[in-house]
Amino acid sequence: MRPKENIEEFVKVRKPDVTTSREMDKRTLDDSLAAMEQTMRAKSADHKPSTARIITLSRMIKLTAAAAVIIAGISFYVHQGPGEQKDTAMVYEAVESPAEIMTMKSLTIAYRRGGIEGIENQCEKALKILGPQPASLSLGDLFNGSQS
Amino acid sequence: MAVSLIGQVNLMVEDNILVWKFNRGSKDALRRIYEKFKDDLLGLAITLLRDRSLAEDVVHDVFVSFSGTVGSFHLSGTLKGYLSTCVANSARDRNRLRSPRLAGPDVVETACCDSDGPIENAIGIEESGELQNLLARLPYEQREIIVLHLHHEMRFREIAKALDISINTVQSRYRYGLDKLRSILNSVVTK
Amino acid sequence: MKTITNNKLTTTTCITLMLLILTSPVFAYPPDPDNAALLYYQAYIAYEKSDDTMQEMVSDLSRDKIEPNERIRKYIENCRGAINLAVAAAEVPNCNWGLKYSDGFEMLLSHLAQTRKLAFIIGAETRILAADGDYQKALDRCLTLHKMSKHMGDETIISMLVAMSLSKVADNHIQYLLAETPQDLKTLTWLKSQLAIIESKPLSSRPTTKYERELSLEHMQLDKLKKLIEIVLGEPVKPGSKEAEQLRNVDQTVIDKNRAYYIKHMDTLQTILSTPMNYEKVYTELNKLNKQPHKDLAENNTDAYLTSIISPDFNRIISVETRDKTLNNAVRAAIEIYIQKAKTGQLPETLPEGLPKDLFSGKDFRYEKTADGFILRCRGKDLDKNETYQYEFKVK
Repeated sequence: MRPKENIEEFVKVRKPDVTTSREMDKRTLDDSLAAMEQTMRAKSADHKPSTARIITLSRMIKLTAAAAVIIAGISFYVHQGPGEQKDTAMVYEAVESPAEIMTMKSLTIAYRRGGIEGIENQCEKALKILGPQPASLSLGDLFNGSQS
Repeated sequence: MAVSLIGQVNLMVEDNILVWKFNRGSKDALRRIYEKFKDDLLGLAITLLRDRSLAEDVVHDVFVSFSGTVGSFHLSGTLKGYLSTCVANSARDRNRLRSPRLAGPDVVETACCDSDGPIENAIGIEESGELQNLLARLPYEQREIIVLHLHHEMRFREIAKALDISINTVQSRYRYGLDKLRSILNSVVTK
Repeated sequence: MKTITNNKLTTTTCITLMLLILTSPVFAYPPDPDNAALLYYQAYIAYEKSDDTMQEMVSDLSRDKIEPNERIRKYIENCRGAINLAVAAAEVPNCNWGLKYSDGFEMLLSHLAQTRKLAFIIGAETRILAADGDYQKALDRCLTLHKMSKHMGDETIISMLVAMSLSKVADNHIQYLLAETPQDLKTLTWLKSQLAIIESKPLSSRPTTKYERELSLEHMQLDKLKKLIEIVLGEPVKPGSKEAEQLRNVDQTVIDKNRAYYIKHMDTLQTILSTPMNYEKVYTELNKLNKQPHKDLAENNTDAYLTSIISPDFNRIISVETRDKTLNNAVRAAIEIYIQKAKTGQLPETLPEGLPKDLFSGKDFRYEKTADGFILRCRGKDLDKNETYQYEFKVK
């Protein structure tokens, strides 16, 4: 029979020597940095669902990827060639561009993040970027201008 | 003793600086936190779940959730203690949800190898340090507390608070766990 | 003498004819637009650009946080052209925004932000009109806001939510004006009938499901999956990232199963929404439906994945709708009470029968007289906000 201290020491010194894989590091860091950015980007809105979604997405991708490998082993470069990557880059740049700010997509994101207030904030943002028209375009000023 | 204390204080200061930077949106701080604790946390998750893939998911989820707290994260103990608690809680949830049929081939990778004889097994435990095979024979609750206390240097009070159970329960689970471990080990050696 | 008289007659006739020709160019005008959107779009380019301070002041005035001041009055006056165009637009029954639905998630909805801005300007003008004692015109502006709200339409969830938000703004102004306006029977009866006409074509969240369904299914395809994920996450899947690589491994079988799950989910949603049920029951059913994909996903049913991330939380949407329509009902019920007061000189002791109801419970509002007016209380609770509402109306 080993005394308690011996057992404790036995367990203590046999701490498992585990190392994370490169793949895991990349997946975890990418998702963590994404979650961090999201929280920072819209601090006022509740972002927990987004974090949860990242986790779920990551899991779904992992599961479906595994399923695809086991069942079919087919890759889908046919559907998503290099052109697709270009498209992604365009989406990334367009999200904050004035032309895109009031698209269904941007508004849907805004709603998902902050409900009706999210849409209202997005509208405010849009007006600041797209802007209402300069003062010279008001009818009052146009009439005044024509009289002088 | 003094050196160890200074070292501990230095580590805590470093953690506080990392948290401070992290809260201000430093990606490097987040990377550093991950690098610093990832192996320990994965080891904890594997010991608790005995499934590497599931353990990786747990650590992944804990870091993603932690990252989502940027700007408002408040550290009240040690960072390692906090992250270990998160991993333990998440692993417990996973363990509850997991049905035996879903245990994949990864389980085999770390599960006890019955084909070996008792002596070889005991020698294996002693020499290769496959403590996990031994711990795997303990009930989950006992295994959890032993690992958090002995491998992750968490105090009983901290564990009780983190797991939302009384300190007496923590201590008794720890005691029963060690007793069982001792008896398993003795039986393996004397057989 | 006779010749002189004839000459005079000829001259007068000529002048009259010339004047008639010159002053009657109306016959040459092409007709005004029969599409309200065309007038709204003109209004959007006709109001004065405001700085942040002015924007805030307009918003505060519209919400009764500040009193009208000279700067705002001048600004609103400079927006007169835009206001007039919006008022004219609101009177046109047909409104087709010319949205490019085929663009799907890329469809531009810039009119929503612009209309909301116009609504604030009109709201601020309403308060100025009230401050100047022109209550009739102020109430008329509220009706304009209600009509603008209806023009937002209920084809998409987003436009419906903005419409509800405008309707709420309009009702809040009416609630304020009813307290300020001298209770004269003629104005109140006119207001009642106007609101009844406007509300005869209510907006609803139900039609939005049709477009939502089509839009989502359109994007639940292999080549569009990435975009869908980006919309849900609110950020792009970075090229070369692990996610981008892994997304390539999602196969048609996975997509087909996810589509089938979504279709079934939306069928159930549409059935729930088209079944006559009270708010509590609908909310409970929708809440249950909303949780189902997440539950299935937790049990490793990946067929539920896309539904879990994209299906709209209709229990919340139905709550927004019920909230705004209940406010509108409270306002209309209050007008009836004000009418009674105008007729008899005093507030009724009990709530008159047949008034618009509290839609959270499907029952009449609880009516309570107070020292300076009355309160209409809901009997049912907003299950989304966990709140029971009451509306206070003051009597001069």
